[in-house]
Amino acid sequence: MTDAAYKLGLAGKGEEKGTSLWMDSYYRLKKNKMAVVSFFYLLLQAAAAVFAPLLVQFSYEETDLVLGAVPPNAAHWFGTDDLGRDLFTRTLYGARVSLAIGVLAAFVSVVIGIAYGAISGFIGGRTDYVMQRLLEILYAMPFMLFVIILMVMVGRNIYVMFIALGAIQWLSMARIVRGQVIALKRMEYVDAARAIGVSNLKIIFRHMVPNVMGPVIVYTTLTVPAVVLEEAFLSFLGLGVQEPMSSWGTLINDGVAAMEVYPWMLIFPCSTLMLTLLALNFIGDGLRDALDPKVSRH
Amino acid sequence: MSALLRVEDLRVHFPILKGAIFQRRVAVLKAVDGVSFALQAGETLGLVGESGCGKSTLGRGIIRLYQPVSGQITIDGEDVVAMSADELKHKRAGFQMIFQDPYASLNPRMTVFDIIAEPLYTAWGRRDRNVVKRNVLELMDSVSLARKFIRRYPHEFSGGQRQRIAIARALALKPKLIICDEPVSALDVSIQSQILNLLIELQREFNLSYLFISHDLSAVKHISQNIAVMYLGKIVELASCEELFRAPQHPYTQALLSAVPYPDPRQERQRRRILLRDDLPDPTCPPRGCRFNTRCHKVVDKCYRDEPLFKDVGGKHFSACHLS
Repeated sequence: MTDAAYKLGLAGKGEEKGTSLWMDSYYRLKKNKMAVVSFFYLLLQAAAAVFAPLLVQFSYEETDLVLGAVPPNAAHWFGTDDLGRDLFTRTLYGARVSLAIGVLAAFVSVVIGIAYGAISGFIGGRTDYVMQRLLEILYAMPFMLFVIILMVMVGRNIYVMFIALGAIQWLSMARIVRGQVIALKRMEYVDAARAIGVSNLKIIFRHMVPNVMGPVIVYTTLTVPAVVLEEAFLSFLGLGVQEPMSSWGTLINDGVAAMEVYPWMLIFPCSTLMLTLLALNFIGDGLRDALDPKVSRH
Repeated sequence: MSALLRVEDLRVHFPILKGAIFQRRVAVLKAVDGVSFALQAGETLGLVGESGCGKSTLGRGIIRLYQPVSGQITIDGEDVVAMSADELKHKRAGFQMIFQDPYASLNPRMTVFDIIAEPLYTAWGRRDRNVVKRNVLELMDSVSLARKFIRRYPHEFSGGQRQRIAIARALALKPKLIICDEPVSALDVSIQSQILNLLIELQREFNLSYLFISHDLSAVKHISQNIAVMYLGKIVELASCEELFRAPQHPYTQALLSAVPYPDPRQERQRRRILLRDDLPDPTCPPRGCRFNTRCHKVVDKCYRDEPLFKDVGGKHFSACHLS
């Protein structure tokens, strides 16, 4: 590299690469053992769910009434249920539904929540007032009841459940985003951008969104387990996915019925659900600590 | 010589609203209430006053971060108040601002390059990255910021270095006027003079005009040719730097100057402080007559009746006091 080229600043030689706040957070997260372990556990779980058809030699729906319920053994790791279906297979297929619903509903809540919260906070004044009162009214409604009525009316449609669960999760997200946007609106770097003549749209996307992403990511990771649990709850009530499809909720429901005779039918789906929820919560906590070091740890 | 910046009878008011959907105005906060002054090209006007007197609002009103309710602002012959939002966007290059807190005025998620390049990209639109980068590096040179820091983030710098980044950003569009809103008051004392001297050097190099807002009289004395003293939304005294320190006319200025310590201990022992009573009155209902009458140590009957005119007491020394 010639000296002249460097002077022109084309080379970038000798430039010290800075550590962005994202990198800082990544290093902090890496140090959090529980979060890392949880992350790999979830990765494994998700991969197993996605590639379930390739991994198992049993079908999730084919019954074997002759076999009936057998306890865990070399062929059936989690045992079989009373209809002779392999529980390990059914748990993996259940993960597909449970995880998909968790991720999709969280995604729906993020999209609606950010849009609603950002508009409310950024415009402020009367618009903000009306939007916030509307939010409070929605908060006051018994949403689970709403979802239940909806599921009864529309029928047990898995896609309706995706949307319904996402739609009840965005309220808190909208509030979090609004609060952040209002705080950021008063930051001097936003004034500085205005003084330069940067348009509102660019101020939102360049200066506000990257700075609200931290709390949004944390809240999203904590939304996923909440939705997974709600799906399990709905399926447990018999309003979730339809037989012979399985979700963790339906498996637990079956397990409860057979608890006294075939305890493994309850133990394995329950443990899987619990481990997943724990992992998601550990990651959420880890991300919170990593993204906002000002919040004291313990 | 015509002035680069001319402000005439500028008023920036904030309505205080009550109620949500049916908002009604319960009071008006007159943060800047009839301010006039002129600033020559290449010169610095110091603007001093205590917290809450409206000096920052005045600075922000001039570059239209706040919308003035009335008055005229002319920068380089162009009427800023009358500009449409679109027009303003293009003209913003001519007047920039340096903010008080370099920890808040730089976006923590952007690199030095992104921060200094933002005004360039905003003004030029899409451009060859190398051209932009060359400009950014030159700007970093002019504020004495090592080139190798170009990819670093604000949190990796000290307060003084951060303020240099902010100054480079303000310089990027080659403005003629820079509003310095307490640019050194958030810095360590040892760094303050570095930044002040940098501002003075840059002024000579680029023929900049500064409106230097501060509550620190010694900083203002160091950098300004003229000084305006603001009290409760109005300028109460305006004079050249030496004149103001030699013969302050307004009792408020006298009180402010009496608070400045002397470096010489013998002089310092003889310094007599004029202590002001009470706090700044509520700016939503300023006192009748002279605004300073609640705290003035020289107050007479007339001060409660008539508002004093802002008049020349000789040699371009203006004061708004019945007694001067």
